[in-house]
Amino acid sequence: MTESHLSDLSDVTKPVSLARGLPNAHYIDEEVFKEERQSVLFDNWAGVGFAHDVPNEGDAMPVDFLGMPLLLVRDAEGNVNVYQNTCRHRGMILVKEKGNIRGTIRCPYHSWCYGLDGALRSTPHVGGPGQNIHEDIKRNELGLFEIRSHVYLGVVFVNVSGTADDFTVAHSELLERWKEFDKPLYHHEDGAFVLEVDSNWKLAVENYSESYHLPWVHPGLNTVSRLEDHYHLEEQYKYSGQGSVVYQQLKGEDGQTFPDFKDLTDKWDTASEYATLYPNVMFGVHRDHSYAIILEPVGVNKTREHVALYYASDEAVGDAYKKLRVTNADFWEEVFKEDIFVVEGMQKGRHGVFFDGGKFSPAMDGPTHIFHEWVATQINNGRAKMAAE
Amino acid sequence: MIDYDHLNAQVLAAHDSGDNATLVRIYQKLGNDELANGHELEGAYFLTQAYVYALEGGLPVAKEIHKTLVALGREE
Repeated sequence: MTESHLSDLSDVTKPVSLARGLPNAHYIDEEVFKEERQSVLFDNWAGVGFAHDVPNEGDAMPVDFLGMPLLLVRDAEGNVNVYQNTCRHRGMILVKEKGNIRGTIRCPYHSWCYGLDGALRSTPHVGGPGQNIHEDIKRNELGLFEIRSHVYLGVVFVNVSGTADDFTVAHSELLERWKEFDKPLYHHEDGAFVLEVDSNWKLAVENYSESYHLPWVHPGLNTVSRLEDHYHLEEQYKYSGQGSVVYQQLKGEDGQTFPDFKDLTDKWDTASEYATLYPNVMFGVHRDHSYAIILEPVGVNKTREHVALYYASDEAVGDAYKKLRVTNADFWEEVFKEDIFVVEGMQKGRHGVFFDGGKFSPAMDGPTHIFHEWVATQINNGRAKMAAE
Repeated sequence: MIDYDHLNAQVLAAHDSGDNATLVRIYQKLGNDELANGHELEGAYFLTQAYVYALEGGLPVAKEIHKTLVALGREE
């Protein structure tokens, strides 16, 4: 470890049989948290909201992403755009609360106005009273800063730094694996909930990546989905997680089931898969519904989990399926709540000064190790960039 | 004669309730009256206020006000 580095990651990138996990500092140290903010979260495609948060034209939602003020906006063409939520004039926050922009986004300070496309539309009194133009104020150079964004499986991803490969290139492997689910999704507000967790966001990913803990932390799954029914999802530097070969559809009292996604191959009759698209979005896909969990890193030891369930058809989000939807949402909320004590327990455990990152089981912890390796690689890339500057 | 106290109260109430249409109506009338009296600066000032709230509210009248401001060399 050189003096300029906040942690030694040399053991983290070793093969799983030799590797150690990320050092404690990556869970409890504010300086490392700041380093990861840039190298892990801003330099990659991170989830910051759901497309259904801004369902209609003109809908806008401010997001504080690790202190970075973002604004999600649904434009006239139906696309979700993301802008820096900061006026180009005096740096005032433009939109403070979620709402609908009927016309333009007006800065509450000096009323510079921006279109839903981010273009600067008016600069009132900028050349003096009643004079709205000035030769030095070039509106075409002063539009809102657009943040690269991409919507996938209902989640709005952003690449703040603008340096990542295009989303479809960066995540081509998972997009290919799950291409059968890349279809219109239907969401109802009864399929959304938020969990507050006292831990670093990465611990939620680490727990989600492996099935090793299922028999102990989710004993209710033992009868329907045993440990041996699971397989690893391991794509180095891309994503990891687990799959199951025994997915059983939820059934209502009258045998009602959710409609399936159309044109799925036979594999999905009984399979389900759960993967984290690095860094911070955890997905689950099934024949009849999917879900996404956006991990909002509130602080080094605070995470907000935003959960949204999606269905395969408009019919499934209608009144006829309400009871089944609520049962489904309750089921997943219970499962995700069962994970909180281990995630928070691991956070506390990382204050143990002798903890060395932990020893992985080569047989069971592969997907978790792949995540550690990816994080370490991002940090090393960031450190190399800093050293070169 | 204009009752400025009454007008001021109307403007403040419209601001409080986010009533852009009323703000536009008040400011546009003030602006047009000033222009009619040959007071370009005051007229452009009020029309600018009207324009901003028309833009914010997505009100069609924004086009008409914009046209006037452009003709005065005060908007692009």
